[in-house]
Amino acid sequence: MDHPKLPPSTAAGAADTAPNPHAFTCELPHSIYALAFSPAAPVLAAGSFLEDLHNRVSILTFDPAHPSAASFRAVPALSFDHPYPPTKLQFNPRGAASTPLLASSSDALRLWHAPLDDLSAAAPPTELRSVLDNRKASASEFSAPLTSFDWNEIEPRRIGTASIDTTCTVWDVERGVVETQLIAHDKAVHDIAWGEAGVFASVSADGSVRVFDLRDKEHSTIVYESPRPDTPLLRLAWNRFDLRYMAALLMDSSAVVVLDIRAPGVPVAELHRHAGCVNAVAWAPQAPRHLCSGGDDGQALIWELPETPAAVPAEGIDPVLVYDAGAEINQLQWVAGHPDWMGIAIENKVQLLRV
Amino acid sequence: MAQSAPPSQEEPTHLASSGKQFRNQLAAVVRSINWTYAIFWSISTSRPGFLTWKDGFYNGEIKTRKIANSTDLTADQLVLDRSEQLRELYQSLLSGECDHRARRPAATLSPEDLGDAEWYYTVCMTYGFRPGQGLPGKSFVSNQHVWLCNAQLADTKSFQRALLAKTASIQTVLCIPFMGGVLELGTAEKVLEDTNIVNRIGTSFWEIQFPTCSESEEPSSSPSENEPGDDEANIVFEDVDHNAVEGMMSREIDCLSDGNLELITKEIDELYGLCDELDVRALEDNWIMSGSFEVMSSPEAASVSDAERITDDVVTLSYSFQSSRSSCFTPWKRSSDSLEDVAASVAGESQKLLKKSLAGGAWTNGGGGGTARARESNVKGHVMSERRRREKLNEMFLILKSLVPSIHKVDKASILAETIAYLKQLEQRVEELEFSRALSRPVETAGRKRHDVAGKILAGSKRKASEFGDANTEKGHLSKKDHGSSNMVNVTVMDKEVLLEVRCRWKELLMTRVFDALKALRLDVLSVQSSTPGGLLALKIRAQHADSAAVAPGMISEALQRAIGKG
Repeated sequence: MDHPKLPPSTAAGAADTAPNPHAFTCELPHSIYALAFSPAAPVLAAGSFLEDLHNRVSILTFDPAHPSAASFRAVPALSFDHPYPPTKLQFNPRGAASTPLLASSSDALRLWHAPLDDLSAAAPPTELRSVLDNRKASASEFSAPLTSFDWNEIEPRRIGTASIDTTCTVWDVERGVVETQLIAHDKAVHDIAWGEAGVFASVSADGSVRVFDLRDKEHSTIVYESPRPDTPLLRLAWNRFDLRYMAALLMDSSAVVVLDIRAPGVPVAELHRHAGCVNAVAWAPQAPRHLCSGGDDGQALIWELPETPAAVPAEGIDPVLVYDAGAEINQLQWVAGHPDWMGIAIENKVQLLRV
Repeated sequence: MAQSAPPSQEEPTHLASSGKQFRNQLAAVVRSINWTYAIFWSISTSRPGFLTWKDGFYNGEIKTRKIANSTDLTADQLVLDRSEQLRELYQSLLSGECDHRARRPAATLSPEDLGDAEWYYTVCMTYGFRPGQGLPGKSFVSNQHVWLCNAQLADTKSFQRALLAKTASIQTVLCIPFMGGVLELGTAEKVLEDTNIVNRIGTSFWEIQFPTCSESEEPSSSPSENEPGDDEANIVFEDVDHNAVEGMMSREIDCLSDGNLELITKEIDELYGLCDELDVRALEDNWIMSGSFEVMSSPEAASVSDAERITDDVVTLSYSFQSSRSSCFTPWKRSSDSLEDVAASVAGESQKLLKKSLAGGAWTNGGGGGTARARESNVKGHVMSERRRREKLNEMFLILKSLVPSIHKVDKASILAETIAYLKQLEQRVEELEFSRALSRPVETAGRKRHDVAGKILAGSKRKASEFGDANTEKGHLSKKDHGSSNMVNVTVMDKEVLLEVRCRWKELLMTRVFDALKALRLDVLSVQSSTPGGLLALKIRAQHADSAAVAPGMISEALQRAIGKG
């Protein structure tokens, strides 16, 4: 069976979707869900979302110093086929392994060796380095699909995965073995995020945000539960710069819930300015109180939280900046090293936005 | 792209390159009209709501010139450098080196080198204005230029720096809203309000491209051509053994002709306090280049701060990360008809892709979280066979669905459940029907039954037999066992039915004889169960009296014995 051929990606600049000349668009032949920026090179990985076996991860490159529509394009040599749609992509954190690795989650956790030094057409292809699969050694051939994962930036050997079988698994990627596996929730786990080297948080269809500490695996802390019981929580983002703050998204909700882990149960703020349901949320890489959210209303809103929780005005916090993408924003990622760039996925396009 | 440089290092260079050009343009503007200084105020990034010093150019009198390199610098360059140096001085005072009692600041300049106008320019860097406050604030809010004549005589409520201006002999100040901030220009001469100048400034800013020359070494013109006042010789650097600020203070006091000491000292004290404060207060957002802070430098500060709430209905926060030149994002404006809490438009189509990705396995085979794990190369084959199997199963489910009339749902679980229920129902009905049929049409059924007997096992009869077995204990039991000949005949009578159990060795025509005997006894057969345990023939017959006359069980068993015994 032929995989869909990747036509030369059209870098549509100003005219098509964004009236803004500072948004660089790359159009791909299939709808995009997962996005990942590499901290080591100006490279963006975009994963397709086709509901069958044949999917593709495209490696896009851009030049942050001299961005232009032409420089934002796919590198066909590095792009590779992927079994089943990747629910999340992430490069290994900065300063980690010598070679850039890209991790993807779908039916299993896969690590790809992506030689990003050479971004030309003659680049060596991306290769599968390992498949980390939690299939039980028994005869059963089933391994529960992974909904998300997170690469621990402080302890780069660790990747935590979240699965629909209610467990979270912590992998040691250097040795390729499971470090530990926890039954994290009562229902499927939807997202996971590391805070410190041994602390992670996860959200689930059971509507709770729980924080786990690997030093004490017996107990977890519930930081938040959705107000209407059993409203699934879909996404979680932990503010790496200020570990007190987390943001969570609920199912069918236009609100972004901001939590302070030191005050569990009551959110610091609920951000209610989206006109449609929110799909993605990300904290600004080097600022303590800025985050960005994108939703079905096609808007990416940048919020600034007040310094003290008491300063939240009664009518709610207004975002400070807004960008209208024109179509549903499915994914949103902030570039780790460059706080003035972010990438969004709209339908089958990837847009690079200047903040 | 710098891979290893942390972002904090990257920004200053980034800023410098854009800032320098901006400053050059400021320089060009102020020099074109030959005013004393230009300052650009913009909304602070770390303190939204405040207009703070963003950039500026000083074009006024320069008091001292350093000996060291002065021979190589032209007057022009000196002027251009001056703004840098003043900024440096300010920053050094700002930073930790503001330990008042101690050493001299590390900047090229020290405070006593500054002329009055220079000092005014430097002190301006400390100011911050809320929209509506002071000249820049007023201009910002009203979006119109503000022209102040006789600045030195203005009252401090509208022009906070009035006293400062007096010492510096700044007589005219003009504020123009510009590029999201306010451009302020001032001069030591008294210039009457002239909108032409305002317009010229606005347009000329963009046109003039001032050649950059401040950093590079220009071929030096002869120093003797420099302006008067350039005393090359003997500029003595006085040793600072008292702190710079105190020196300034004494100087300020000396300069005063008015003798309004209190206010001045207050201002200076505040500057003191400011330096102290700044030691303590860390910059919160370390990726925003200009540290900023607020100064309430007028005695009316208290009242002003009370009246700070912006009374405008529409709140516009202009939020510039760097300059607003190339951002995709626009400032948020709360539209007048926007709702406080926007209810999510849940049409059932929300978060489609997100939900799909979390469904976990919707795309995998079987849709139940199962994946066929195989080597990548074998997966295709597996997929095909899996798909076929799936399709077959689905087909059969559909057939089942069509067979069972009560099924309305299409999912497999419901189909199966309904089928089970239907089957049970059917079994029950069959039993009931058999019963009632046998009752209503005895002749036909008996005949038919007899013919059907051979080899026929009715599933329901098993159960009924066991029920009968239980009923035996209640109803009475008559059995005759003929042990001797390994033949067995059991006759059990219930109300209307008779259960006969016969076990014997198989002979030809045995069953025919048994049934003939039953017919002779006027018994209608309801059901027969036959089996061959251990080479023998075992029959369990349920029969019913054909007419109302009951036959004694003994007679029945006798007749049966005769039947099986023959031959």
